[in-house]
Amino acid sequence: MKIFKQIIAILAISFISGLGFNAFSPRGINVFDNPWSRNAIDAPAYQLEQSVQWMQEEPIIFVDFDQACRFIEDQEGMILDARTPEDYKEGHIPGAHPLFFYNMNEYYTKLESRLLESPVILTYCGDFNCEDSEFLANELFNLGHVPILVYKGGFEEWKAHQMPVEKSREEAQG
Amino acid sequence: MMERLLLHPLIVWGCRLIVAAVLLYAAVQKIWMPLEFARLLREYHLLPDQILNLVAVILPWVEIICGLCFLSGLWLVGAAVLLSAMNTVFAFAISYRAWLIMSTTGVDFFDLSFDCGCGFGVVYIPTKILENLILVGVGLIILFSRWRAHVPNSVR
Repeated sequence: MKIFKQIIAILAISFISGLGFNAFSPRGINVFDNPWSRNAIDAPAYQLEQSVQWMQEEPIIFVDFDQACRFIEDQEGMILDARTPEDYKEGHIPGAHPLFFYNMNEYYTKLESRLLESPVILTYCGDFNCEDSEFLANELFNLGHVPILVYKGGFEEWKAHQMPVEKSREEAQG
Repeated sequence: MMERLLLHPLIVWGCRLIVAAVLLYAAVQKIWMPLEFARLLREYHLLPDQILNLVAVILPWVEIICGLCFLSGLWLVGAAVLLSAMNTVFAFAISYRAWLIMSTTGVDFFDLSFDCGCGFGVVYIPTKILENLILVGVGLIILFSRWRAHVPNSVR
């Protein structure tokens, strides 16, 4: 019986300490939030620019290289790089802003007002295996930003197509 | 003879200090990056997405409180039970993820390394599972040392 009391005491203190620390930590997270489930769907190949209404119904959309190129060339909205600040500094898609998903609190506040003004947001990360651009899109969706395009090919595919790369357009620190 | 050696007060003290150091170090790495820790937990495919953030916030604190218990001697039995239980679960979880990776990629078990979310970055998995099992054993040593201290000789 004594063992159970001790275990419950340890777990209860851990629970309270964890939630308390998380509430005041600059890197604290919403414990009831779920940025992990996949909400994104594939964009139809034929259209994006004519599908504003459709994009509002399906707020997170995967786009391929051509669609991402068109978005970037037409400057349709903000481009967000979900990779680490170090990766961003080494090179990124021209015009992209750093928004490292795992330190979102610091980066987001800097960009919030501009993101709110952006009609569409495009996120990307490393490559097809990287999920951070999707997580970032889910989190932005939870914060009220729609629609969001997720460029799944990411920076590696961008480079593989010999596309221009920009270095440290802005300070990558949070 | 073996029992006497393993349950010698100096050995038990050493175990407590080492375990406390490991737990506190690992926990401190995790409490500063809860979101990244949650992502690493997600890669095990064992917990529903809805509770990943909560587990990522609480779990490092269980390690911290257990570590402090091992240092201070307070609630030592409960901390030892939790240490053994947690590391048993971790060993199974890491083995399961290793099996998932092996079955999808064909990588050999003895060539397997990944970030297990344990607070030590990318680690060699066979060694990591062994470490978890050693920690289970250390928890049991501490548990039995306390049991011996409280149970009269005639009952043993």
